[in-house]
Amino acid sequence: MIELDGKEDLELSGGAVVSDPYGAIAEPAFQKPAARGTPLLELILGDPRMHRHADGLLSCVQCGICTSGCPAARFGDYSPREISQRARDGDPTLLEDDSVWLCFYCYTCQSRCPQGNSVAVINQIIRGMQVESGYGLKHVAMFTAWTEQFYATGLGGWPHQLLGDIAEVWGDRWWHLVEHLDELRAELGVGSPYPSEEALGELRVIMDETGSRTRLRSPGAEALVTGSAQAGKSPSTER
Amino acid sequence: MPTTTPDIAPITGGVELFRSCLVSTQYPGVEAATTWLFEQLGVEYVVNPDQTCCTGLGYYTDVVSFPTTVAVAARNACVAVEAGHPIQAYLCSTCYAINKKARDVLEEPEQRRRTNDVLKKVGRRYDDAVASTVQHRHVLEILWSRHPSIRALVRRRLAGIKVATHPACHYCKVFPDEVLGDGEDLMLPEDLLEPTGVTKTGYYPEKGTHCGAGFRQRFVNPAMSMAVTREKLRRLAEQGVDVCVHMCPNCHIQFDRFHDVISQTAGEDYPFVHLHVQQLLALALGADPDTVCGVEAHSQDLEPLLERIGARARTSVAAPDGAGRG
Repeated sequence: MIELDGKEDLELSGGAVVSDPYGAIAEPAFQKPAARGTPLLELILGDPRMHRHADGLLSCVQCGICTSGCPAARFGDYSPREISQRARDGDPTLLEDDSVWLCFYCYTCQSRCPQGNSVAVINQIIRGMQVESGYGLKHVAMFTAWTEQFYATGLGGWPHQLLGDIAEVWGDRWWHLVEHLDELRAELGVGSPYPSEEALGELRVIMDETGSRTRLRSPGAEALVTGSAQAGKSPSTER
Repeated sequence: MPTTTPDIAPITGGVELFRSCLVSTQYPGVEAATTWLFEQLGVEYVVNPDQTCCTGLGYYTDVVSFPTTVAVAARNACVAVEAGHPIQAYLCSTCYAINKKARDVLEEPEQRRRTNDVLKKVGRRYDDAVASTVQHRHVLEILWSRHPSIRALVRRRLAGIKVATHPACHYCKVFPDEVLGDGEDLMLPEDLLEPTGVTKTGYYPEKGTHCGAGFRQRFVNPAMSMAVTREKLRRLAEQGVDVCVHMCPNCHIQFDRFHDVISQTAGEDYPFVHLHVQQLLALALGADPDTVCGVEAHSQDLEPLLERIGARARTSVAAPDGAGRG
């Protein structure tokens, strides 16, 4: 309770008297100073991606503007307001929470938050922790193809192995593009989409130095990734 | 409707057109239309083969770690400055936002030191000279800085063509304070097109709603992804637009490639098409739809629109599949 200077008693209809009615203000849970020192909260606040938003997380008033504009909240079982509350509480169950994987990373929550919080960034941090602990690998297994393609060529894009069912839906015009992309690029006079050999060499050093490939090969990851890529085969099959 | 996008001085001093992986592999005509416009408007630029992809798709599908992304961004900044073309001009809003995020983080001494420990291995250093020289600009900002020159270059008037903007989230919402205009009601694309005679839509319900791609969501949770896209398509149809213009290739994929799929699945008619802003502007300035705008790469049938604006000879009978060159 916050103590205020004393006020006069308040006489209610019927004669009852409330002594010093405005002399104190209750503090609901969300107004308590955040529990700094909770390890997960410290990790989130200490992440450089959060530095613009640390005060915003600590001052979150649970207004729900984030949830009101969120496409995942509208069409999925996900609440950015709840993620914010749990992050502020340092709730360790976030590290095995699957709902954070529903975020679109559209940043609507961040751009509309009156306090400057960013649940989109919190989700990036939590998902990264889940990947590095191994729990989240099931959520990224199919996207490891991206890292491999990027390491091999220096070009991102959506690897064709990700497209699968989508390519069926996209139909003939899409396959026409896939088959004729190089011709089309030549007709348009745009140069190679790939970086120079020197640039690719530097990129690989950066990826190796920052652990880009080993990140997805923590104990258990190899089997999971291999199992996903070769559905039906033994998880121990070599990549 | 008057223009509301703030005027800015011409952006000069060496533009590096930052290649985008999704433009390169899905809509290369967006790159060609952009360089064609740069040449029309006298923007001096280079495409730098030493620039690598920004890592955005890997980062936002959570396979690439943030330190990797920052180091790649720092290296690309060093490369741009070294080549004397330090204004990185982005075709993709995710390249734009992720490089700006890296810029912010690299202002912290500890993060810069860690990143430079990595860059040392490739003989590079992100120092104050690089940090104060490199600039991050969306291509539309470069074009807008030359907009007074556009009117005299129009060769095909787009009178009667109603255009609506899909504001790219990673342009409007990651750094809202740096948006050219109002991120909740972005007018930059329509204001750029105004000299061509288009009818502008301005604000419409759900204007700020996301495209639905959501990086992983398109692949992992397609029903949720499509539901978001459908909401936007319905609202655009209500407005009676002819063209929805885009400023991000990931949004463009979501709308162009799924437009007809969602229309059929939902049993709803969305009688309009999707183009990048640069493609529609280039068409208005007389560019060839095939050899400059690369319309062959699109999933939608653009031929009726191209005929309507005089970019194709009118045919009395539509081609059987309506697919034109595609």
